[in-house]
Amino acid sequence: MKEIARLGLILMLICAVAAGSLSYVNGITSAIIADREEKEKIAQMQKLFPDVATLEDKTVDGMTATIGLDGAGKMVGLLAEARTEGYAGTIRFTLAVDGSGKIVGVNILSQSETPGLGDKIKEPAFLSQFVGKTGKDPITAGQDIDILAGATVSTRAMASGVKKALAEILVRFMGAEAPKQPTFNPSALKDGKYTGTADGFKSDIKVEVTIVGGKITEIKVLEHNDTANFFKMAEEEVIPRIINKQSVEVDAASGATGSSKGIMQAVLNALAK
Amino acid sequence: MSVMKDLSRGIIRDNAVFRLVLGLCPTLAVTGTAENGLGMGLSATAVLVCSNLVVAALRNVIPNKIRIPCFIVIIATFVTMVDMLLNAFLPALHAQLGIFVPLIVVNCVILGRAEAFASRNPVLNSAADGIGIGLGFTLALTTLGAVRELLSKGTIFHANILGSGYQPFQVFGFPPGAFIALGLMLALFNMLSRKFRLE
Repeated sequence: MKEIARLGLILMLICAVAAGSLSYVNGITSAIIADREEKEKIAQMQKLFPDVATLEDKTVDGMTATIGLDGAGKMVGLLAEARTEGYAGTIRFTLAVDGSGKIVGVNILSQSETPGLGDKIKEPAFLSQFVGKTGKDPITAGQDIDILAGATVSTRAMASGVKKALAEILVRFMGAEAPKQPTFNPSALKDGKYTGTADGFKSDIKVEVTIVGGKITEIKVLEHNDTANFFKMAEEEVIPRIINKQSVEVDAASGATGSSKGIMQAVLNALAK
Repeated sequence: MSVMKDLSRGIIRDNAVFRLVLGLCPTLAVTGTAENGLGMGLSATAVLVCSNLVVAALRNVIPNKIRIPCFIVIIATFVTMVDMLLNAFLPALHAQLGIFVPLIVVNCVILGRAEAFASRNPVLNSAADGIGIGLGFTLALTTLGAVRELLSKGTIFHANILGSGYQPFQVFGFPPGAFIALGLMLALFNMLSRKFRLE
């Protein structure tokens, strides 16, 4: 008993000295670290927006942005964090947008894409393609964003992620109007065949939708270049569900979410025109 | 044993990685490039020297039964201090090393030296042992990092060595490549040590 108390006391003493010295070092360093981090943050913003004088953090609908204000308190630009689903997990990135709604820079915070192929998305040569884009640009892989060889899925994920994040920033922090969700009403459509295209998992999916008597009767996939067996799963499950429900708001085929969502969006695009 | 001998012994004869085969977790995990290997090696050396000093100074105070928790507390304290000091005064290096610094706590080379050497030897010899083992560890990590960086990227310390026509061995940038490279280097080291009769 006495022995245990002695050992405990010695260990406690050593811990107390350790804790004391740590809190002493922390007292010296924490102020320096906090001060440097604040300065780095402002310096980082000034690199993007030279007129920034002060910073303000703002959260709207779950999206947090650091807003840079000039001396007069006017917004000169903002930096927000966003994420997108890549080939091998979530890609986290920051998006810098100036006061006019133009992209100033994109920076990857973390990603786990294939080394040597998909991880080229973090290279300046790729990311600089987004600079200068606005909400009016397509920001689509294969159109105004070059597809990295061997990394189609990663490229598409970044392009659609940036496009979506920019649209959200414009609505939440820049006062742009939220775009209307396109809808359709099959009973109001004339009989005939309608075609539409949308983003699949790694390619564009083109569908032909047949309307007879105000009802969706047939959906045919005209073109796609997604992974064949996953696409088949999506096709076999999602198309009957859409026809059954006469709506594109149906469950995706599990394991083939990318292709499923692509089919739904393509049908919507076909009919909402 | 003389202080100088304690210092030099750790570099080649008792090299932590190639001879004692200790501390393999950081050895495998952070040696993707020569730069990371060097940074990790030097940080571990700093902690090793400090912890050896304190453990040796307290070797007659710490009871045998609770020596391991005491060593861990001492090591963790120094690691945290190094982490905070780097963050405050050398932010560029701190950003470079990132997660590797806190990982030094679980580096068994440091605990191993506290247990095997510092708890039984005077302060000066323990400090010398810390420096020697630390330098040997740094040397091993930097070499392994350089070999892996050369094979996986064609560069060493970001300097292009093999030219742009080199088709990289991607696998050496990944964990399996770390095992393969370490195995080959251990074999080479064993061969050399037999030749020069280090046994």
